[in-house]
Amino acid sequence: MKNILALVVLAVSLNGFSQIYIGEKCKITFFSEAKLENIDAVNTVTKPVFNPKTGDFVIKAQQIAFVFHSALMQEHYNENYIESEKFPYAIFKGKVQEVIDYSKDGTHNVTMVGTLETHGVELPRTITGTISIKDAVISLDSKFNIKVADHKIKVPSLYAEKIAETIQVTFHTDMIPFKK
Amino acid sequence: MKKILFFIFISSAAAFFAQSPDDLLNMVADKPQKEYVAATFKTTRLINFHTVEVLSRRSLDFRISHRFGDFNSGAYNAWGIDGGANIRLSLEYCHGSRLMFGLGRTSGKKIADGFLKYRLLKQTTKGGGMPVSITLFSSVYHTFMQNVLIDGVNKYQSIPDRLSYCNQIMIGRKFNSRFSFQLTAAMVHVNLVDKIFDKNDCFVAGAVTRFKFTKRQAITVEYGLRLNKYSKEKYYDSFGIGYDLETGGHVFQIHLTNSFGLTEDQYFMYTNTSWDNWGIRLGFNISRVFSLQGKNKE
Repeated sequence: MKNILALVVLAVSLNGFSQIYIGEKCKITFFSEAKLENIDAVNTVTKPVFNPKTGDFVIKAQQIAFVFHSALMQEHYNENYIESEKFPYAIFKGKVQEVIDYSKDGTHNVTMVGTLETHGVELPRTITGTISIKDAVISLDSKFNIKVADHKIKVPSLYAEKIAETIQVTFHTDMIPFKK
Repeated sequence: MKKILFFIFISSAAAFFAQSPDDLLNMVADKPQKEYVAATFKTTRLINFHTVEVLSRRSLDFRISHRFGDFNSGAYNAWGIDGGANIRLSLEYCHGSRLMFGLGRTSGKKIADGFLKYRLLKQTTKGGGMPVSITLFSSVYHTFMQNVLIDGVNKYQSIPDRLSYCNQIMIGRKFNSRFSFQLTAAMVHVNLVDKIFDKNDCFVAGAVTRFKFTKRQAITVEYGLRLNKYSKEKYYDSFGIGYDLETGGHVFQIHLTNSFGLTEDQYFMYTNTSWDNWGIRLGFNISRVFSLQGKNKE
């Protein structure tokens, strides 16, 4: 009996220790600057998950939640390029390499090592950014590039002047402690 | 007591061990979000028939539809290419994402038309629970023909004589990224008919389907079954087979159809040539969509 109680106490305390954070204001923007047309889209509904104890950071963004300024571009993005019916999500799984004391306010430059999957192609990526902590809110900012060809997204040569080879992704999220 | 404690232990332990990146996601995974199914069909028309599609927000569609003459007009007429063409030009606009309107002019029978199309229900992905899209359509046609004589009397005495109408309900479903199917119920009303025995109303049950064989190309088929006998003249059901090609902002539709008319009152009700004796024609639609939406504000 005592043993069990001890285990319970241990498990509960360990559980309490690994508080998970969830994205509250998350914004993923991508931008492609090409000769004829600039393409930009924004996704504000995704909620990343972060475990400060292990540094694990995961985000699963629904492709159809990216909103383009032109509805036609949005249709083409989903139907012709990203094929969101076949590959509905872009997923990043990474680990923050630095050891940070998340209980103190401050700003840190961080490196995340992990994998980025989009259009069904998973690639190892190292992404840099900043983490800032203020009043128990963890914010993460990052900017990185995705090469269209790396993810086997085919752009017909006819549209090469409309779509850049490299897409710039800007990422911001505020994360708060997750409560069930 | 023991059992309860054990349960607490298991559940908290489970939470503790759930720390791999995948588990992290599953812990907070929310229900699949309700999303609307996009692009059931490539444009608002299939060949002649309207589809459940309504233009997206702040889009202006400039359409050119062209029908050549009959195949069976023979080699001298280059199988219809030389002459007897029917052309419709139209501008169509949608401000929100449900209600669109369009104005058009058709060369054959000198028809000016206007229509409203309203997207009543949108098909959703699995999480949403709406299996079909439903769109309503209502239009009016006015012919500008002069000096149409019936037994020496001018047919059109007043403006109402020149008008006809069409109302439709369209129920469509995108079964997967390749295959879409739609049923159409249409009613055409013509204010003034030619013969004393002719009826003014015609009811049509239509079917429309698309099969996409690459990301940008599709085969389309449409058929309109007329349900009532409204004239002693010989008319036929409208039937068309087409090929869709999409290139960025343009959609090209090339097809074979037995209907010469380009407006609903004409092709549903007064298709007077038949596939049986090559009373069909080559036709094409070109749709150019302009996005009038500015850049993302942020």
